[in-house]
Amino acid sequence: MTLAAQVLTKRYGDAPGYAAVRGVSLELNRGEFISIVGRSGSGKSTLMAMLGALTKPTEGRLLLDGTDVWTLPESERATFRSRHVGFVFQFPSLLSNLTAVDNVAVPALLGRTMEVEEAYARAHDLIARVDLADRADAYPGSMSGGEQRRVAVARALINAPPLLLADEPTSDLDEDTETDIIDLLERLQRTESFSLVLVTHDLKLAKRAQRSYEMRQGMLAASDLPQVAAEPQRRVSPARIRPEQPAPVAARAPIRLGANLWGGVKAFLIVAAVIFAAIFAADVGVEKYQAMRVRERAARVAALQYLALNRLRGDVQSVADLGDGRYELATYLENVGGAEPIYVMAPDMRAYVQVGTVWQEVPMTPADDGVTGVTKIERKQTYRYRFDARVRDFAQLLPNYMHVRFSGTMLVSPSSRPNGDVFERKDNYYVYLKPFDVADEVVLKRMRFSGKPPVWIPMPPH
Amino acid sequence: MLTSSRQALSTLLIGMAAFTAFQLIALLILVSLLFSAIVQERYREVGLLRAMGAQPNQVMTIILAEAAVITALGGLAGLGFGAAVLLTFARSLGFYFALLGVPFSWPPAAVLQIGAVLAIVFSAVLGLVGAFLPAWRVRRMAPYALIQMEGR
Repeated sequence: MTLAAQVLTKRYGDAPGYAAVRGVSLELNRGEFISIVGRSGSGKSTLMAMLGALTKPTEGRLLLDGTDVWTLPESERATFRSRHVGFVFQFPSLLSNLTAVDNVAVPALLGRTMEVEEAYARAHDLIARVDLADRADAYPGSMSGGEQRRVAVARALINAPPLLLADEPTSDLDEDTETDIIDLLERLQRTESFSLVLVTHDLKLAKRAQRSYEMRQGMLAASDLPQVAAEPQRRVSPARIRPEQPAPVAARAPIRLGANLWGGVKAFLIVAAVIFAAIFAADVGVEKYQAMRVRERAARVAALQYLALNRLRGDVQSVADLGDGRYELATYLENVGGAEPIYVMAPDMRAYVQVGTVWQEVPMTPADDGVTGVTKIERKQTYRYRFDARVRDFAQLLPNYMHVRFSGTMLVSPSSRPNGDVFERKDNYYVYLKPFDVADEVVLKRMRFSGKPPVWIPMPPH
Repeated sequence: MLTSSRQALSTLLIGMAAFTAFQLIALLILVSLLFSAIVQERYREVGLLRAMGAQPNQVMTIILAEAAVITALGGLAGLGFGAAVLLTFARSLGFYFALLGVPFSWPPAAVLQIGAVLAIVFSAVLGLVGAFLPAWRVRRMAPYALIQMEGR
């Protein structure tokens, strides 16, 4: 693989804009180690982003084996990033909610460059080669800066890219750790044969590259740094020496990406299921209790209804003519059900005379010596009312007789102090009533009676 | 009496449907704003994924899937709480009416089941539609711009 940058320029802002990188040309061949030094703001990071096809150059071309990467569709550029470039950034770049080994496996899973099992096997291998085999399941939050950077190096190499871009990978690390990381990169470069472009502030580290460049105000110039042998400048403690050959893959099931997500969803569903199961179980209990209460209530209402309608018989007992259109009505209520008493609030009785097709109410009051208030009915109770039935043009269903309706409303209970167990009973009694101002002879002209015409004639309920 | 009650209930139902529709629209805007903020907070993470070789559509799928899963779970929780409220109603006011001889009757099981499925589907669709714009926007951004926008 050959990657060639041709006169790369990057401007920010409206034209002409600020040129962060100006006309940089660079050619990288497989296995090369190049270092770039420069002051902050000299354009090193922008150049690295352009080399990795992370940002489009304003001018110039980035050629991969002769093909301009920026003429490719975005999906192929993504494939280029996945298969040809590995990045180590100057900031902590691990995904905090994934373990170290998951982080390393992510690029392979995203790029689908290998099977999941293979990706995890290689991730474990790389983790071991950066000397973090015992930290594979650790989350970034529990790792030191140096450990995180080593995981980032392993991640950058998961797809075995021919180019590794390390943009100040040791910027926030101490000197020892910094040297460790660079040693690691060099060692891995030897075994994996990738090209390494290292951006650093440290001239000592830069000297270890085969070629060194310096960025000044966006321009790249070959550096005159004397090159040194690519040997560690500091003796590495035995514990930090990693095997050159691939470490054996950890003999355990690979950790699958997304296990946490599904774990979280499962936990949510379990908690929700427990809460709602408790609610619905409680509801079943309440429903049974309430159904029982409703049945009890229905039974009480049915019993009350039976008491009020079947055990208490009521009707007109008599109607007496008091003269001058005034009459006295006697009704009765009879307890026909046995020894148990029935308590009744005296009926509110009203009288109506049919005139044409409507009922005309006539004045009616309880008799002066009549029963009022709550009465205890053990056998038979009579109620008396007086009413005035001087009505003209009454309907004559029987010749010369008025058609009269008595409507009574009463409250019935088995208890003298009812507590909800009260039934409202409505009775209608119908009679024919002889008007006061019609003589018997007139009545007898059109109807026959064994004697005098009666004052009232009972009618069946209707 | 029955006809007027039925008419009143129909009007109430239409009013409730309209209210629900407005709520859905408001929720859509809310979800969109929420996911705009969530995506914005994760610009660097998204940029890193792109630098690692993630396809733009993969990033978009991840964001949309997350939104759909979250809102669907929210819908599921809402369904449970709605059922709990309905049960509370049935066991309080419904019980009172049952004592007076007016039984509380549930809608047919098929209606409830279809309603539940629709509620979950609506929730997931709400997440998908709400997060589409932020996901589309981030899909079109250059990886380096995403990495650099962290903390801005």
